[in-house]
Amino acid sequence: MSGAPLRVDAAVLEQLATGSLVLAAGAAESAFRVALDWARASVAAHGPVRLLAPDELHGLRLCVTVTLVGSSAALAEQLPTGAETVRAVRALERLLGARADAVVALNTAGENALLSVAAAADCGLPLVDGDGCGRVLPLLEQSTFTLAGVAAAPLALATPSGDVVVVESAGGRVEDLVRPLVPAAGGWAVAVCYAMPGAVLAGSVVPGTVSRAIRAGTATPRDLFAPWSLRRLCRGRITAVEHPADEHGYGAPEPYERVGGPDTHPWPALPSRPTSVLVAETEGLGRHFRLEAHNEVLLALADGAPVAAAPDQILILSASADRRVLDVERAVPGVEVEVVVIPAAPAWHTPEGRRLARAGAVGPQDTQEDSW
Amino acid sequence: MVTRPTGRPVREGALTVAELVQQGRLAGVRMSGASGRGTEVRSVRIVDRTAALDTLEPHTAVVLTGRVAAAGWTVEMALRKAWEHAAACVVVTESAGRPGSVGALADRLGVPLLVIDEDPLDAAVRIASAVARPDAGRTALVAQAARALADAGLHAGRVLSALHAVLPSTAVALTGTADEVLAGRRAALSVEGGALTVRVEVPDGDGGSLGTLVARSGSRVAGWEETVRDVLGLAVAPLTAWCALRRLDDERTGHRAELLLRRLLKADARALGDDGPGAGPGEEERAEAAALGWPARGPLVAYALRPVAGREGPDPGPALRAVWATVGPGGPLVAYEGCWVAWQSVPPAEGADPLDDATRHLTDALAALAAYVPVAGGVAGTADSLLSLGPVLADACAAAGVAAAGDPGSVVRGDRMGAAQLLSAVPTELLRGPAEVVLAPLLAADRDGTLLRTLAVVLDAGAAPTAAAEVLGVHRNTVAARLERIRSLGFDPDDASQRLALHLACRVLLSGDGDGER
Repeated sequence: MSGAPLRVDAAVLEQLATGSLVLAAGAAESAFRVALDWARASVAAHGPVRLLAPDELHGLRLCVTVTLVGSSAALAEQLPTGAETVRAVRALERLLGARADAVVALNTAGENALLSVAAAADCGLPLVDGDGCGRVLPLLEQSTFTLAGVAAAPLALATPSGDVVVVESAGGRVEDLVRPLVPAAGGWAVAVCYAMPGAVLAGSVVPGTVSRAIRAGTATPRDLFAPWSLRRLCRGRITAVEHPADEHGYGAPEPYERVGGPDTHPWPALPSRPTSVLVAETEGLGRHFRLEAHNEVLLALADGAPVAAAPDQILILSASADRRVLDVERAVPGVEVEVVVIPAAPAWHTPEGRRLARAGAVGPQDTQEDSW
Repeated sequence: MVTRPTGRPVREGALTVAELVQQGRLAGVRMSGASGRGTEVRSVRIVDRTAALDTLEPHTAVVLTGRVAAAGWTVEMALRKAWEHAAACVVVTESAGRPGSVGALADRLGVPLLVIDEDPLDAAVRIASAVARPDAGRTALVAQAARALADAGLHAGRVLSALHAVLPSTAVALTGTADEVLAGRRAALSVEGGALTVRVEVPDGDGGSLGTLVARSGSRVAGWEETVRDVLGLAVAPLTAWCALRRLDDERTGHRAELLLRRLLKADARALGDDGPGAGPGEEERAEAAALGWPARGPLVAYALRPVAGREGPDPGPALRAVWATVGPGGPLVAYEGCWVAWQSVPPAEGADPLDDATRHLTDALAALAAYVPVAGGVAGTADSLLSLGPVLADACAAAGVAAAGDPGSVVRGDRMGAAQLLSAVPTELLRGPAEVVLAPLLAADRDGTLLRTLAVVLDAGAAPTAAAEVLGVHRNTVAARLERIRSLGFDPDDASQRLALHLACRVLLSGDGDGER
């Protein structure tokens, strides 16, 4: 992590905020502002947060993962008290009979990046430079930690009303248990979960995601995406946007939406629907691209052959100078675009990783057995 | 190689995608990626999982079902895999409700995408049976054509419609002997592009040619030409029968008209002799004539047509009637006394000679007829009414008989037939023998023909030697001396009992010499 800041102070926090939005095409602005204010206040009150590189984790006895659950729109309506993170961490500490040594974010995008800074500052703990996804996936259990054999439970949930709920699950049912609690909590809550020793975390964390977001926050528009190793699929023009109306092409509706993801749409925004974006390549072979999307682009076909698929992130960038990420819901025919892929962390490319990334995701169930 | 009872070989090649579509076995099929339609189909594979696409065999018709058929992207993947594995085509049902953008990839890859209206499994079974017996499909199309043609009956327009119904993307036309379109679509004669053209001759039933059936198809698939030829062949018999039927009908009409004219004239003759009230004989015939639109109001001029001597071919009646209807001066054309006669109402003459106009009209009509039937004609008139039409028709026929001795297209007026014209109508070939017998003594003595020519001129001139000398350009005494010699041989031009026979014999014998005395 050469050149990476070792501390997140007020200035670095602003860079992190900017960088965490680069890939977040559909983030809700008001919820993001609430999260930013929260992090600013925490850093101002408790001082800068120290960043821990993954190789510094060995020897730490307990690291905990923090994330928002529920809807970001609710976060903007029911404002946090600022005590939620501490209450959730303390509850888990009480249950486990040990003090936490470090905080790690489940993902480092949008509101979740800022929440993890606020949590670390509030608890006076260092923040791990890394996260449990490397990108954003909608379910609690869709993490590299799960792939490493770490259970999400026990999990402590702190609501803005001052309630704390601790969930212990025999395994695999955390999502089902937490989901009904969220509306009762007022729409959102802070979840602290995936408690594990530093050595385990060091082996399962996707490293460097916090410092990457900070670097992106200082980049010029031209090399905005330099911190990610982009692979360009094509440059072309959108020729059609289709909404296939079939009943079994796509999986069940989203279990529920977690706030803060760059590609998840805040509930209760317009329900997302399966969308096909057709792009005619304007250079090279003039291939026929089809981007299959449901919330995010799940699959890219070039002349019918898969060229990229989730869990790699497929992004549609506007071909104009500012190279903004184009939300799938806002894709319209005639727009010049660039289609790029950001590779997912290596853990996601194992068979188990692919299965976990897609199981709760929105792709057709039988695609698990497919080559893509 | 298998042969049918007719001995024609059956093509045993595998079914192509285009044939599969053309045979109409798949309900409501639409094809994208048509550039690959020439690919052979040798097997069928039902695919319900994308993983199965990795094991496609070449020349397979890939029928998508279930989830693979449900989304655009799965169909696109199937197209791609089909392309990679050289499969024949991808078949998907329309009910999946997929937008048409997938067709663009089919076009790009050249892999036919068949979108059908029916259950994919039913389609798979039908494709399998078509693949198993490719010739059965072709036979089925031919059978379908036979049924459609049987339903169409004997009518050129309906036969062509039936052909269009069974031959997809094919234009068919029936052209006449001059390449004019008699029925069907003009597009069949188009010469653009490299499409397939099939021509089949259609006989007219009398040993001639009615025309040609021309089919032009956008498809150049192997075997398709043969199928089109088979189907066109089925249409030949109904078209020939249609043609024969029309001719028979025409002939029957002609006979009926002929009979009616005879009855009409006979009745009129009776009416002329009968002073009784008008409601007498012929009333029924006149009503029938009026129904046929025959001219009845006088004055009437009569036309008669007759093939020129030596040019009589097969019955020219149908052709004459057909052409007369368009180029003739008017009126029906009815067979009568070895001629075809017509008559026409003309405006009452006021100074002008109605026969002048009639002659001109008939001359024009005969010129137009010359290309079909070489005929000559006569005009006569005028009759005050149908009652007096008989004699006028007889005059016209006589005039036509005279004209027929001349060149095709010549017209003779019944009121201006001279003796020479009448004589020229004599059948010289028949009379040459008897004439030579009658004049044998004269011919024996007459080495250079002088005596024969002198006798003919003297008879023409009414036995006046002076006038004859002028015609012959000799002295009167020379004529008198030759006459003496002729009389000494036993021929007397002044003898009334001999004169007609002598005159006729001279004419007959001199007619072949091209003499200019007429």
